[in-house]
Amino acid sequence: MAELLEVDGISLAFGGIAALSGVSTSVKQGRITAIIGPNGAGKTSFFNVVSGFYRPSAGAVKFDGADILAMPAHRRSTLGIARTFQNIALFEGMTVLENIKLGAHAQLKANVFTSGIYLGWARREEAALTQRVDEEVIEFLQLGEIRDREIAGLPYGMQKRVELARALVMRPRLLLVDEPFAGMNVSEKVSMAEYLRRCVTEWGTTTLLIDHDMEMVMGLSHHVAVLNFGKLIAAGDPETVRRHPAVIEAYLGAE
Amino acid sequence: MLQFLEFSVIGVASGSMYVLAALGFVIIFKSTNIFNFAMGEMMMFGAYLFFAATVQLQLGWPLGIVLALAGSILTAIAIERGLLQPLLGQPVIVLVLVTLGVGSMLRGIAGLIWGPDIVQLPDFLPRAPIFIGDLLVPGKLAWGCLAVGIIATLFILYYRFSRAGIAIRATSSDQLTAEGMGINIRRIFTLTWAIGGVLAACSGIVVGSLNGITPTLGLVALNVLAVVMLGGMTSVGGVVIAGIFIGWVETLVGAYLGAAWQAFMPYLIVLLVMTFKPAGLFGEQQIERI
Repeated sequence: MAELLEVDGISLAFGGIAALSGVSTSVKQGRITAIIGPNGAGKTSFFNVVSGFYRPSAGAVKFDGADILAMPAHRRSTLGIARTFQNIALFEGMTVLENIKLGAHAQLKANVFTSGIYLGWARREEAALTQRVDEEVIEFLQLGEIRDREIAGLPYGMQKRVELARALVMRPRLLLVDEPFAGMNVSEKVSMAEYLRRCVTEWGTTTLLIDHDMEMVMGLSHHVAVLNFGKLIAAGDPETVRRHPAVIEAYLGAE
Repeated sequence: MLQFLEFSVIGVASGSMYVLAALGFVIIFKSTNIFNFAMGEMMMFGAYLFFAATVQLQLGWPLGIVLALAGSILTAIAIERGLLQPLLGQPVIVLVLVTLGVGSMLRGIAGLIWGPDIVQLPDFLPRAPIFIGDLLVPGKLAWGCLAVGIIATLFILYYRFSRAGIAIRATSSDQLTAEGMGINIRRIFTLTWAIGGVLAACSGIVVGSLNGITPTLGLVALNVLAVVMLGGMTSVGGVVIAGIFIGWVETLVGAYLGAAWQAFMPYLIVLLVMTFKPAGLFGEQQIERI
């Protein structure tokens, strides 16, 4: 199976602290790949490099065979890289629908200058997008009831789901999910895992996720990479990783 | 009582003169976090461009407005692209001081080109007073207020409903996430400056056609500053209400207590409000999540 994302030897430092040192890993098309590791292991830094918020000091990032390291963050989303954030980053003061529609912003033909005029075709494009949001993501993620509510005041688990919807609406080729299970109760976790699984099986969305929750991650992923102190310490299928001595040490401490 | 009503109507109308410039302040602040001290001078400059097109070049006022708006947009984009974008990443205070400098430069340039004396804009607003029952409202003020109302409404509709408006709001809410959605935030910065330029020029032309213009017309922006603080730096609706309110208070204070009181009353109100509500009457409380 083809590699959709290849990350080769990236290093990133903040001042004297090495957030990532020489990390290489890859994400296969149509699979769920997970990155796990204790707090401060560099997981979110890794995501920020892939989505273009941080520029690594060394290494290469290839998406579908093309080097994207020099590409600014907003252009990467046009390539088909979507993400959710660890601390929910929805736009408060906007409705659920408006937030989700912003996920498709990069694909709209009307740009920030022409769309202001709001002529017929811009309006039709908006209407078509609303319809697509309704039919595809709102139904899929069962957000119909809260479609027109404002973000503020929605339960946490629901906000996570809206964020996933916003990432899915652009029909991403690569979906980056930052801690989808954090702060959720068991039933919310189970339904989130089910949504993510269906993203892959029904939509064929290649997914890269980060989380602490070993059980959820192991049950969901095809491939797991483990980071600790900015270094890759193990990678492989969930069973191999679970038994890997370095992983046990990182999670439980040395015996 | 009739007199009070008359002063109130005039006050509300003259308050509306602050609204456009205040909206310009807010939109630039919301998207870029830069407090634009050159706003008043952008107003003044737009009014002079209108003066140059209509009086000096005799082009007629509709074309004059188009040229003044275009010139003002270009000036705003030049400030943003030429001076501010290269400094992105510096502390915000640096950028704010640059706008202060730009303001002085615009004032100086206007003085060099058009001289220090007051000039009158052509009478394109009807002079005939308007009567509402027994109330008399000066014609220019009434029509100016109407023009402001229309422009402000168009702006708010654009900001609230257009895709570009939504992109601006997303950027002001969270720049990083907006970028993740594929929004080119540098372009949004330029766009908001261009909009600020339009609002400034409209405001300058309306204010200037009431009382004439001088290179120091921009100092009226100090009152606008009070409006913005009172409304809350980030509230589009808030500054509309605050602008009208301050104009009303100013006129009433001026009428009943005299001009000496009029000069500092807006600031006293702002001071009191800020003491109790630091984010302004309608400003958002920014809560940092960790």
